[in-house]
Amino acid sequence: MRVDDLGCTIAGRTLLAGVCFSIDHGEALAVLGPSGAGKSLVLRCLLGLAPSEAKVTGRLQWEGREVSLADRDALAQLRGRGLALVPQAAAASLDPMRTVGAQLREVCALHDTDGRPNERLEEVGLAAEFADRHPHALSGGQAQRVALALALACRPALLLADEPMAALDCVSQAELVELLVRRCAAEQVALVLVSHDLARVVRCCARAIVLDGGRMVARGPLAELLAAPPEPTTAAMVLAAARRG
Amino acid sequence: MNMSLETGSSGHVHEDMLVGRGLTVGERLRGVDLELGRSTGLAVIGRSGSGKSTLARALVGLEPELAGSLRLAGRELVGSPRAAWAELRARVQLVWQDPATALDPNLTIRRSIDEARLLAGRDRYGRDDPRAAALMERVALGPELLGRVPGALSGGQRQRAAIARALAAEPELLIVDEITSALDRPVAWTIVDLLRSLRTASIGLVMISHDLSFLPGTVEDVLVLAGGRPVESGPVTSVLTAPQAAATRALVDAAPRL
Repeated sequence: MRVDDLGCTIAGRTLLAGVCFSIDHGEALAVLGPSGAGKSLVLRCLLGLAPSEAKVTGRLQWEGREVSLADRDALAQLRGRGLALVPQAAAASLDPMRTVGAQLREVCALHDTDGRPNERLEEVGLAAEFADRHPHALSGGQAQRVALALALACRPALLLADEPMAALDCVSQAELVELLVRRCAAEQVALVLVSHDLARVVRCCARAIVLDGGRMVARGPLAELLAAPPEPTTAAMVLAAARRG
Repeated sequence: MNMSLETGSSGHVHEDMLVGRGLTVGERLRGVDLELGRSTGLAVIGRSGSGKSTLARALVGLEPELAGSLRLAGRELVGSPRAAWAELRARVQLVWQDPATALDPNLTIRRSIDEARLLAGRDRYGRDDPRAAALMERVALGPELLGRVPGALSGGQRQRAAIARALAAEPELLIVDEITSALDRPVAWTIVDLLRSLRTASIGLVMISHDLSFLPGTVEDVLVLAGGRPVESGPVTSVLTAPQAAATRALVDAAPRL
């Protein structure tokens, strides 16, 4: 999959410009940058879920096909089995009125995939009894695992994860990142992991792009960006992640 | 298991303003002992659900079920009428985790600061009162932001404004509950540096965090909670380098490193 020249403007204000990256099956790419850099907006544009007043430009090369990023209907067709999202606030993304199992079955039915909730839950390290729980009876880490199970339920080719660990404690963060990378590698799913925590993603993503102010300011192998930050935003991030006391 | 933090590991004995013994809130917090004052630099660490925020809320009188003993300058607060807790508000301030919801969205920063002063029994800052600008300078915000509402500020600015609001009450002790977790790391460090500068101005600090890298240099002591109970405490340097409790080891092991 390749994203070419993604741009987004709202009311004449440029929020994203010139964002390009490519990713292969089973590969993990980190999207890094400070708050407000446009990281989440990149994901929303790829999903065809940018704000309705936004003008999105650019192209998505998808398994030999080219899709215009302005074509929300075409992007809607890709949601589910093509692209899936693990949102930042997992608990808020779940339907509070329905059990976890019912939500898993619904997603599978919508996308015509095999819907056995217990197996889906097992894949993300949750016992079968979680299928009968409502979202309010889940911890933050458990809700995030359910969101991951929902995203993986349709066997997407590309998983977009928007700071999925930001609201979790550090033990749960480490567990979730490990799970995310392990599941994606096992199913040959490409993973785009948005994060502002460089230290958290450094062991699981081989490559990264760095955004600041809606522009791509750096890209390349994460190890190289760390060893020799090419510009100030990356340098500030590396410095802050390395700082001890 | 009870434990007490008699003095800071810095060695100087301090006059404890707030002393908790066997602090308990239902099943969420069990038997915490602590002694807090102007020279306190204490981190409370633990996983989600370990009771950290419950302890913070209990220390500012926001947990009605609080049992045990909490003495403010020698006077027992637990079981006292609400009026007895009023003095606590002026002397101990809590800064909340989420900068997006910590401040009243309808109030300008100036009015939020005034509200905090009135609640703490202090006089309100006047329209061009230099104290308001000085307070903003203390948290590295320009005075022009006094007229803005929280929605017009970035996350880092909002967290600074929330700290300014807490400082407006002129507290002896500041409790900060995961105030950097919603911020990106470079911004988070600027907030930690701000907390350090407040400590040198003799404001005690209780810092709730699951990010251990912010602790050394900011606080001297650490209290580890697991399942609502205190499981380990001591100087930051020794607890983080040679953790004894399984819960502490899990936190140290999970800390991301470059």
